[in-house]
Amino acid sequence: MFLRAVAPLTLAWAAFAHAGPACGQASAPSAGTAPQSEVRAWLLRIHAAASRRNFQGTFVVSGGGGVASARISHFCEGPNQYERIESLDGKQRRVYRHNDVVHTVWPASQVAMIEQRGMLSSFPALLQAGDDGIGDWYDVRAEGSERVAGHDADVLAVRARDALRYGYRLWADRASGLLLRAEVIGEKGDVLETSAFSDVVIGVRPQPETVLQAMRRLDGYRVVRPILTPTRLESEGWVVRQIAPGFRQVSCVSRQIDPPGETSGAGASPPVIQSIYSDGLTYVSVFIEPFRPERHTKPVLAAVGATSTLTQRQGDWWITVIGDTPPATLKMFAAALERRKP
Amino acid sequence: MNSPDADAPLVERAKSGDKTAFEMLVVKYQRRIERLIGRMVRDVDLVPDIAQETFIRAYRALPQFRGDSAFYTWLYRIAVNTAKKSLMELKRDPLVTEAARAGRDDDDDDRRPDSEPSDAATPDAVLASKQIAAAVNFAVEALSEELRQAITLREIEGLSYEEIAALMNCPIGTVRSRIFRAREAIAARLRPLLDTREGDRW
Amino acid sequence: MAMDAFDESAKERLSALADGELDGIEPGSACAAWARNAAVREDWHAWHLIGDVLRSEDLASDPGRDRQLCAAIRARLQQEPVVLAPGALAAPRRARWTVGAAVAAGCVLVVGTFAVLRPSDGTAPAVAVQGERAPVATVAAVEPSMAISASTVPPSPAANEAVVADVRLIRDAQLDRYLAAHKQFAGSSALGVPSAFLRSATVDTAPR
Repeated sequence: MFLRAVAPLTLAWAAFAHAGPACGQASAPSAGTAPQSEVRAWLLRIHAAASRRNFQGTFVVSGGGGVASARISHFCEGPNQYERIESLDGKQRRVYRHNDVVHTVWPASQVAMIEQRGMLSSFPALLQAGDDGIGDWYDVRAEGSERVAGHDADVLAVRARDALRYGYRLWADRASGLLLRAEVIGEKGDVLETSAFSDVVIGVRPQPETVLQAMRRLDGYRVVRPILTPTRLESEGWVVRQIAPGFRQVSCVSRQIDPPGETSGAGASPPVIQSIYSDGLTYVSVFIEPFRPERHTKPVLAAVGATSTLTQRQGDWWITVIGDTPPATLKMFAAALERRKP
Repeated sequence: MNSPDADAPLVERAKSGDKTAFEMLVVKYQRRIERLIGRMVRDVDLVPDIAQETFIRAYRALPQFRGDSAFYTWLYRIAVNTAKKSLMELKRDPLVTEAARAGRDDDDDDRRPDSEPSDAATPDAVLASKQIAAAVNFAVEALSEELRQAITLREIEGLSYEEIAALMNCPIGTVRSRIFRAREAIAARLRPLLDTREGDRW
Repeated sequence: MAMDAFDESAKERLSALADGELDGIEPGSACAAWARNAAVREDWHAWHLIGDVLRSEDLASDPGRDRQLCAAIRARLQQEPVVLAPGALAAPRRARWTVGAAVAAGCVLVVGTFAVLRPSDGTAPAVAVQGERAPVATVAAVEPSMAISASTVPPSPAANEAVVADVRLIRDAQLDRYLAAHKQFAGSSALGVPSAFLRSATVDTAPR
């Protein structure tokens, strides 16, 4: 359940992605310690490949004792991106994406969830090239090359500079920059999670119609649409003190945490505030909601694979923190929350 | 503490030359592997052959399996590779069946309605599956609290006997016995649905 | 030992073998009984079908289909040269949660109906455990081999409370929803992989 795919390098490069320029001419990394500009170029190239390339393959994630996989297709035509993902395990589920619109369908139960992911990627300007600060928290260096899923790949070692975040090892296709494999490295140097293509064809013929047709075909499906409303912690009555170093808030919304369409007898649950933080590579979500004893019974601090979870009561409130970081980091976020004096 | 893979005893035995031990693992994982293959290749008729191929390749590769990952994870990757290989071969084979070829374009077949299950065989088979699922659920509900807890913690939560013993505050031997009795009770209800016909025995 | 009469205690050992919990007993006689005795094979099949169905109803399958596949594989296996690569498997690297430490840590999350276990003021509840078991290694956020320790890292005795858990253990339907909400934001397809999607792959978070 807590299996993750890859270190999300979205943050620093989101502005780049939305501007949508053609993939840069950055060359493949050479071995050794790299200057920050070269590091940025490598990561940019990886990010661009995910958006700009047409590829299709089977992706396998393993960690925390489990394994799961999916078939993935991604197409790019001009400014448009299309994606189709199908689960190969568990209950059958498919995700179709056209830019920021995402359809998730469960064929067996005939339910379709439609989401707008646009607002989830609005990042503050501080993360433009040159000011991302990733280098303050991570050390990135090239580690040679290996073959992955039939492709020659360059290996990047991303080492965390402190104990508040995990390290990564990334394998990027030499020809295109597409990320082929990623490992999340724990504090003891152990691999917490592995995500990798077991097979991938890069440069397939784009077939956007296959995605668009499926997104139109919703006859007989019960359609649910979750609603996320942007908000600010201050206006919700919260003050945030010292969070974990290197992290900055990137989004804050008010939302339902229960799946849309589900009611709990007495009616819909009160909304939950979700505040998201990132250090450029990894994310932490802090959820705040009113304390309800019948529902909030289990304080938790645990790590499964590369994800840690914390839940605890704070006065009249219930705090849930989930992050792809060591557990200690979550505690800093929880401790930073303070209710405003009226 | 590192806990051994639950499959380790049978895998080690299979590696020591006991084919039966491997067959026992086949029975354990055949359904999951078939589901995985079914989702990848879509054509229901191809699944048994690819599943067979997967298990045979796994058997041959046993010497290379040293327990670096769980056995199922290793088997899983073999299944993914075998299915992928089959898909590639199908494209090149002019004698591929019409069913396999229809609607196939790269791996995408969204021209078929989404509601068509990829692993459905005959309507009879679908009905049989539903009956089995219903019987299992009904049987679990009918268990005593202790037996239900034990089988649930073992099968759904994947806890070890030691962990279950600690949670249920009883000796490990009691856990073992409860899980066994739960299995017997549920299997007893399933027996009519699983009954073998003549000439089709295990 | 007479294999024809596969008695209750032998059956119970077979059940333990299905869970990998033979505790040192060799599986040889169980395997021999399985090979010789159709009723044993039926039990083994039924028990694993039950486990599969409990985890995922779409794994309920037509038993005839299962039998056919097994028979086909058995026939092919007979043609195969016997694999001989004996030796114990490597000690697995994946850490596994054990109840002892989690109980001591004060937080154990079990599925829905069970209460969370908390230590009563520092004393661990009596746990009846057979045999010698070392306490589990907990995740300690100190001295990471890969990182340079920074002065801003606070001393973290609290971090020792965290326990490394197995993915199948922490399965709380409510927590899954927070996880799904977290993954909507974190790990979009920037690197070409659907992290959000695969995060909840093994858990059904479908709206009902």
